[in-house]
Amino acid sequence: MSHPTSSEADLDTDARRFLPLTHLALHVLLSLAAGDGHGYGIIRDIEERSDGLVSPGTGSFYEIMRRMCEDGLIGEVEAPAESTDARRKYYGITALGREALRLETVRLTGLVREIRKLGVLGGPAA
Amino acid sequence: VRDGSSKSRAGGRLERLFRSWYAGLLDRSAMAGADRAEAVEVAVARLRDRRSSGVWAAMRFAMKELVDAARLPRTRALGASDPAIERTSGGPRRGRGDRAMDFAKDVGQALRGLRRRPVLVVGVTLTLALGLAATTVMYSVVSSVLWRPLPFAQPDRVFMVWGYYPELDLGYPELPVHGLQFSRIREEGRVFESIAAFKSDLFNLEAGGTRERVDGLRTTGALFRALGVHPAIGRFFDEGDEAPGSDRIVVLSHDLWLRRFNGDPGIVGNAVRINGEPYTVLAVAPAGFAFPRGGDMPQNFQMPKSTALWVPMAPATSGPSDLAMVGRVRSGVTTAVMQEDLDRISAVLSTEYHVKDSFLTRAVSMRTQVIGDVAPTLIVLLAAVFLVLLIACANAAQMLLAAAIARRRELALRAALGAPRGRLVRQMFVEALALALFAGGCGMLLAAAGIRAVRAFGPTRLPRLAEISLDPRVIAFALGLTLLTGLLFGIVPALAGTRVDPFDAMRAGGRNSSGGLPSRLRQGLLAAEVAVSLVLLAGAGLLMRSLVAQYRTDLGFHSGALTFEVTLPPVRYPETRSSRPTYLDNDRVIEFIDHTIGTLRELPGVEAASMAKPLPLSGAQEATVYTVEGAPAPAPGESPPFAEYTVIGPDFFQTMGAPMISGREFTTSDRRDSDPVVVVNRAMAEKMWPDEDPVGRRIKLPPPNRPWMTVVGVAPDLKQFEVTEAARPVMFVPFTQGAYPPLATSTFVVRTRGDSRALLPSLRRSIAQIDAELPIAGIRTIDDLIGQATAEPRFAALLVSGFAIAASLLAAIGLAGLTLWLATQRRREMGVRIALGATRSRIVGEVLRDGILVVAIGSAAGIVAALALTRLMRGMLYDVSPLDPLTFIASPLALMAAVGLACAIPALRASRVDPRAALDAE
Repeated sequence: MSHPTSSEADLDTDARRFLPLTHLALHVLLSLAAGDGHGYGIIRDIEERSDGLVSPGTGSFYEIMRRMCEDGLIGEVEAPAESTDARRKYYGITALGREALRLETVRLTGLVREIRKLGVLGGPAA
Repeated sequence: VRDGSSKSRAGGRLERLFRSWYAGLLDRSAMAGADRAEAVEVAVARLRDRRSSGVWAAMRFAMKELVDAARLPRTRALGASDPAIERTSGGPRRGRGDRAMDFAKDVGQALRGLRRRPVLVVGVTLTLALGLAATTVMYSVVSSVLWRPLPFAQPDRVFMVWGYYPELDLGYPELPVHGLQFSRIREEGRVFESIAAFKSDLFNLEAGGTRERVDGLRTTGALFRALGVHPAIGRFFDEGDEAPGSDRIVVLSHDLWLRRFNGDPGIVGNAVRINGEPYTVLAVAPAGFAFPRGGDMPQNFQMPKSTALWVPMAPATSGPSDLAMVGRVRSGVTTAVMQEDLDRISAVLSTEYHVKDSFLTRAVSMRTQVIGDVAPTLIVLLAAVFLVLLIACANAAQMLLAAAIARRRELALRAALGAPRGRLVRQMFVEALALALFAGGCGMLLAAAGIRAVRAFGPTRLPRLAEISLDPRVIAFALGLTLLTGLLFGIVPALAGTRVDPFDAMRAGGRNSSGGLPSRLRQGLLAAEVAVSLVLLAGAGLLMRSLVAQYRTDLGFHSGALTFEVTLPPVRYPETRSSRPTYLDNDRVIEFIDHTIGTLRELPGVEAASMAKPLPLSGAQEATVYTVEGAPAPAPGESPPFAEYTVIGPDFFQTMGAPMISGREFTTSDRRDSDPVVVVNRAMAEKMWPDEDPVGRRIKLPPPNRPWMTVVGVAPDLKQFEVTEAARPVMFVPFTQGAYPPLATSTFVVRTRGDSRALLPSLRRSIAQIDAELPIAGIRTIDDLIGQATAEPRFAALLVSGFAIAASLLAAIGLAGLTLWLATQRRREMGVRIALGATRSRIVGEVLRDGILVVAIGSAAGIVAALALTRLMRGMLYDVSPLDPLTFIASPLALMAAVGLACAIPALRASRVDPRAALDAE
């Protein structure tokens, strides 16, 4: 689901459409950025990373995965050789997804910088 | 992780329960099948994971998952409105995108729902399409004929002026005027801004190497100014162009220009040959302009269906009265003032020429002239067709209502599961609208075909026939009707169908509560449908009977002959005394006709040949006063006797298959220089010589110095204009003695053995041998003539029959629907009663009873209404009483048979209820 013919500028504009990412979408991209995975694994990954704060409903999760696949942020990939269950769908992040994740990170970093400026974190103001 | 068997067993039960509920909820979602299976497994695995944290944590998780799954169909958007995320910060918010999505979903659901019910779709579509098509066609006809402005500038100021003769019944009220009258009106009249006189003529047009006979008009200069039209290209001629010497100019119709000159824009200024002489093309008329069209003008003027070219002429100061007049009045002149001025001029003429009542003229607005007396008929037909449409709408509403009631259980279930009523109403509304639009589309297609059929098969005498089209206004009207119908029967059943107490509907299985419209009202509607159908059927029956009577009428002659016309151009048969080749030479014309008849007789396969001007069923040449030898002169104030006047060839009656009543018909020995002879028809003989044989008596035509003509025979009455006419006095004179002016156009009749059309090639050859430059035109059989004469009653009969059949079909469908619905409602009861031993015939009878009651009431009301309404049709009927018993017995019987059959099918089906199945269904 990558866009090999698109220039980087196109990719940037394409990815910008999805901003801001929803919590769940951000987590899915984060999880897949570390490596391909299947539904159950991704959910567990998300739960662990967020200390159980983000725990999507299974139905909603699959619905999100479907939409993200349609949008081209993620895609279905071949199951790795060590996979135990052949029926499980494996997902991977696309170039578009990676770009969306990057842009969202930049946006969040800017946001965090704004918050820091207000001294909410108690650290030195920039 | 398994600690303790009881805990494990409880956990297993929770897991199984959760799995089945969860899977059930996912099944109702839009999720793809493969995803669904995997999601169930993942959810169960996650539940298992929670078990380590205790039963309550697992239960909480399970509830959360079930709620999540139940909301699934709406969790579509990935943006900020994603409910899965929003829920953590204060509940789901629904955006505009969701609503659009809902609407799309409603449409999709409606279409899927419709696909599941093909019977409903076909029934409603058929019903509405029929109703809409009939209404649209009729509305198109009415709006084109009656309501569209005439294609002239300020059409209210355009008037036709006709001659008339008081207390004279020739079967037509409008008479031609004389050139003198026209000249005086043009010079001395005070009310007309411009006025023109014209007469139709036939022209042999040569262009591009081919010859063709076309219908044209000779007119004085101001015609186009009076009508207020502007040329497409070039300039129109005017009064300055009338003078001999400058009058070899022609205006072409747009059609002729396209057809014969390929729309050449450089045509203006070019020369064409007309009747063998060069004419300069002055202009091309605007598209659609073909004044005068025969359908708009009085029938006795024999104007062509449309006019293809116009040439200027100066008004004649002598010769016959053969002109029509059209004028544009000055603005502000009232009809009364105009008539006063016309009367003033005819009074002056009467004094000058010492004749009473001979120069009277009467102005008729162009609108009245064109629309004539068809307006009431058309309005009646439009009203009839609106009734059909109302029936169709009522029927469609009934079907949808019945469908809505049948679905009440489903609706109640969905309402119980939390579907908002507005959403359900909207969905049903969308369904009805989609259906209405589909039916409307089908109706429009049907209407387009119908309008083509009207244009092709409509009576040529229907005014403005060529203008009838599916114009944008008609399309807007039909679309409006479609949407209105959709709203009408979409909203009512939707509201009625969803206003249901869920508990009641679930418990009763949708059986005993009334669904919106009370069934009394439904039955009343259906009875009204039956009544209206019966009125239409009776009307159609009367028109059909009248048509059959016309076909059976003795026309006075027999079919099986071929006729064709030949027009002689003056330039090739010029009057020798005149220096200008304007007038035909009578001797040459007589010689041509004589020679042609002789040649035709010699052709193999020909039994008899003759000529006539005009032919029967083609109108009259002229009418004339006459004097009977020995009869007293008419008393002052009394009109002299009048008769129509037809010019014929030898053996004419034999050729037409009309044996003489007494005496002889003309022969080749009745020549120009032999004794003047005349044949009278039976009506004239009975009027002038009621108790004796007129053969041997003598009559005379004006002026007084003309010779006496001896009556040599009495002919049967031939129908001159139409089949329904009463016989009027007609005299026949031989073409060698009677024609004045010389006959430019003669109609030849050939009776053949076998197929008359097989004669055509040899016929063309022999005419070409006589004069190679004469085109043959108007080739028709006598049957064609009869067909043309009966076109109008046939059209009316077919139209009304079509409406009647459509209405009866609709009523039958409606009654079948009602019966089916009642039978379905009582299915359980029937099942019980059959189980308890009731006979099937009894069940059938009971189901039929309601239908029969409706038909009986409707028929009674329909017969009463029909008896009152068919009186209004008296003018359209021939040889049939408006209270014709056969029609009034046969039409209710036919309707009852159709409706009975329609009800019987659902009733029989009801009686075949399997008692156990009927009870189990609950």
